[in-house]
This record gives sequence, structure tokens and C-alpha cells, in this order.
Amino acid sequence: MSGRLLEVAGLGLDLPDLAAKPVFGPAPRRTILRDVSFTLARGGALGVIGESGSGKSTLARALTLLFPPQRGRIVFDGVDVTALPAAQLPGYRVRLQLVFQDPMSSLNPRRRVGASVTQPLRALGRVSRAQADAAAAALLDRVGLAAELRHRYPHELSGGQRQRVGIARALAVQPQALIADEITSGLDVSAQARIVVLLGQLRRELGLSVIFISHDLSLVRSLCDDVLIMRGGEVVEQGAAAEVLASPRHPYTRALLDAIPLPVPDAGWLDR
Amino acid sequence: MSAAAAPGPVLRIEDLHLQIHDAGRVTTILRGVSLAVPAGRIHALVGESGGGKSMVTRAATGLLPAGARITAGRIVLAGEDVTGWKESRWRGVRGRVVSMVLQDPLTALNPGRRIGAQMSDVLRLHRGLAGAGAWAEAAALLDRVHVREAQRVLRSYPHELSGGMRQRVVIAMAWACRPQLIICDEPTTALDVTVQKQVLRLIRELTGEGQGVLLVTHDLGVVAKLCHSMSVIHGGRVLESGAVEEVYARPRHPYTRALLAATPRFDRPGDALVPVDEALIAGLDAQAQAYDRERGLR
Repeated sequence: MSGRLLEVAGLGLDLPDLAAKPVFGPAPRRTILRDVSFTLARGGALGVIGESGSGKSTLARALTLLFPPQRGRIVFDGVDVTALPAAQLPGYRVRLQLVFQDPMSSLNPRRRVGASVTQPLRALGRVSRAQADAAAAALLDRVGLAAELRHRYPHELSGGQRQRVGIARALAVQPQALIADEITSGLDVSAQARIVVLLGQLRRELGLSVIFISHDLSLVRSLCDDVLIMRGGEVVEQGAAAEVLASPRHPYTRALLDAIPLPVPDAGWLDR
Repeated sequence: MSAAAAPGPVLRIEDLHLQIHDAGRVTTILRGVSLAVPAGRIHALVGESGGGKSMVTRAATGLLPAGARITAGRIVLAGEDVTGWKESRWRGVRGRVVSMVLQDPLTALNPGRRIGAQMSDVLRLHRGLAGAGAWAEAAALLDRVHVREAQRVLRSYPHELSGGMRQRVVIAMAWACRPQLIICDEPTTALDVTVQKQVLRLIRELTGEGQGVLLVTHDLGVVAKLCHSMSVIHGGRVLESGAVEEVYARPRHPYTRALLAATPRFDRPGDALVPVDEALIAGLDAQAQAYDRERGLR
């Protein structure tokens, strides 16, 4: 078995453009992803960076086949999953878990955190009701949260804690890879740092592979080996994170880096 | 910066103590906050959520929640002591003397009305303009914030504009009456980095006419590039304040140092990203409780 967990080649996706839909007749198709190719190593971490409209969140949905791609190929763990029969989709998504940006909308507000975290296990019949409580405590501990938090409701937690609950739920089914879609945006610097450090830990300790989708290029370095810079549904630059950050080749990557305000006082920066 | 601007602060908060009374329960939120925003300058209020930042901005705009009580200290806005003012008095001040730009422009704008109509409302309310006069002034304001197609934007609904464009509209509205103080609460958090830079530039430009800005943020990168002075707040206490250059070069408080260490540095490959230490936070919380005990606060 190769060292590659995920191989994506020439991925392309069109979606109906509802804004341009005529009153009668179908909406015109719009290309959202164009020829996206990359590989994710087993236990590796890839940063996918782009601004709004870059197609980065659509890529997450295409990889998990929530939006089945029209072109290209996705090979996961040696198996071509691009045209997976519907019956096998749940099995695939167990192995490649997606964590969403806003845990307030992805967690059931009327369900206690512990029940939310173990819900996927219960759905798969992997734990009984009696075992679920212990499983919840263990999962929360895994993401650095106190086990007592399992009795709370999502609104009683901080944004950073909720996001860690989202990660715990994704980990419940013991996936091989995790796609984190903008999970640090909207968090305080410190909560943000805590999430990035946690993902690094999960990589090391569980051998988890991570696709870290973000608009913040500065967060990538401490977590990711490789980085993919996207704009308008296309990959404009890709390579080793350290290299791309140190010497970006594409002008767009350079523009993104230049726009990140580093915590170094410099009144002239705004004029550049 | 404008040389004509008076050097006096447009906002001065002195030893502000604030509690919230809710169904017999009392929570202390602010424990002696002091800060000043000079005219023509940008002062940062830096801290994490729950530290008391937003309560400071609410106190300075007369928008305190029900049950909030100022138990000590005072707020001086454009030379006038506004501590404990009633809502009726604030109405003549908000928008004219102090205005706000919030993180999410979608919540500041009415989704069901066109931008032109909303801006006209503001101009009618605060400046007595109506009809074509209000429309022309709205266009001029958009022009001022570097919106190129002002007429198109005026005819648009909020959802038809990009996030950056919406934030420009909100800034234009906040600026409509040339208030002496503009409070910007995380104004660029929801924006892409390239758009963020443009909006930061715009905020700086506004101070060129002598406006003071209080920028509320957790982003020490933004503070470093935009602000002149700063206060670091946690647990309702200002832990450190001073000129930005000074604080970054020699942060005195461990919390300030921790926030700096938690800010990503892609330019320093050797630096690890260090989250704020939980023990440090626990220590600060204990200090806040000790503060309350000493003063008989609950």
C-alpha cells in the first residue's frame, strides 16, 4: 500500500447558477472547480487556502461526494471513489470526515454535547446507550475538553469549545482523514491557536490525515506540510508549505501574504 | 494625522465599574477600566471574547443591556460626562457624536431595503436631508469611502453586495455626521485579507479629519499596522496600556506576551504557535475574584 491516502486528479465540478436561472427552463451551469489535482499523504496535512469564492469549501464537498464531481478522479486508500454507488457512500464518509465552519449550525442546539458527539456511533450501531456516556467522555478528553462538558448544551460553550466538540464528533467514528472547513474563522487568536495545535496533536498521536481549509495563510505553516492556493476554482500554486510561504511564485500568493498583517508595528504597511 | 485636531481625547473612560443584575444575581463585568481615545488617533481595545470589550463599547454608546449598572467611574464623550444618561439624551448623540461599525455589516443593514433608502434614513434623521438632496449626499458619502459605482450600490439590496462593499457602506453611514468618535468592533474579522487591508486603510483615512477611532479587536496583527495606542483587557480589567510600538517592543504583562505568542508568524519558521496558557487565565480569573472580594463586590 502506498504512502498516499488521497489522490485527486483533474477534479472538475459544475453547479447550476441559480442567480442566472431564467423563469422557465433550467439554470445555466457554472464551473466551480477546474482541474484540481493533489495528493494527501497518510498522516499528512494539506492546507487549502483561498478567499471567498475560491471554491475551497466546494472542494471539501466534492471530496466527500456531497457534490459529486463531473470530471476527474478521487482515489481514497487505493480505491477509486469518484463514482461510488450510493450504498457505499456512508462507509466512505466515515473514513473521511468533514468538520464545518460553524458548530452552532452543525450541532443540534437541543441536544446535550455528549449525545451529539456519540450520535454517529449510535447511528452506526457501534455503541449501546449504556456505553455512549463513557465514549463521550473519552472523545471530549481526546480534544482537550473536560468530560463534564458532555452534560452541557452547545450554547453554554465558548466558540472554541464548540469547535472542539465538532472535531470530537468527527473523531468518534475513527476516520482516517479529517477535512476541516474554515473551523478557526470567527475564533479568538488563542482559541484559533488551540485548534491548530490540537489538529497537530491528532496527526501525531492518531496518525490522522488532515485537510485544513482556511482563508488564513498564516495559520498553515505550523500545521501543514503542503499547501494549495486556490482562486476562482483553480489551483494557482501548490507545494511544500515552508517553500510557498518563504518564496511564493504566483503573484496572487504573494498578494495574499502581503495582505496578512503581522504583529509587528509598521505604520507604512497600509500604504504599500 | 491632522495637525488642526484638538489634542484632547474624544473619549475618556475613568475607572469604570459595571455590574449586571439579573434575577437577583449580580455579575461584575468591568473592574476599573480606564482608557482615552485622542482626536485624530486610533486606540485599540484588545482582548479575547468575554474580557469586557463589548461592554466598554456599549457603555460608550449608551447601549447597555437591561440590568447593567455603572457602579463607579465615568465616561466622558467629546468633553461631556455622559455617565448614567437616559436613552432620550443618547438619541441626540448616537450617530452625531459617536457612531459604530460592527463586525457583521449584514446585521447593521436592513436586508429588505435598498442601500440608498437606508442611507437616506440616516441622513434625514441626523442631518435633515430628504429626497434628491439625501440621495446626492449618500452618493457623495459612498464616493468618500471609495465606492466606484455609487449609483449601482445605492440601488442594491445588502445581499447583492460583497462583504467588503457592505462594510464600506456601513462605514459611510457611520461617518455621515462626521462624529468625533467612531467605534469599530472587529470591523474586518469577517473579511478576506486583501479586502481587510482596504478597509483598514479606509478607517485610518477617516481619522485624517480629526475623528478618533476606538478599534475593538483580538487581532494583534491589525493593531500593529493601524493603531497608535492600545489597552489590553481581560476579566474587565485593563492589564496593560501604552503606545503600540512600546507595548510590542516591551510587553510588560504576561497576558499581552501570551496573546503575541498566539498570533501566527509565517515569517518566522522557527516560532511555534503557542495558545494562551490555561493556568495564566486561571490566575487572572483568581485575581479578578480577589479584586471583587476586596471591594465587597459580588
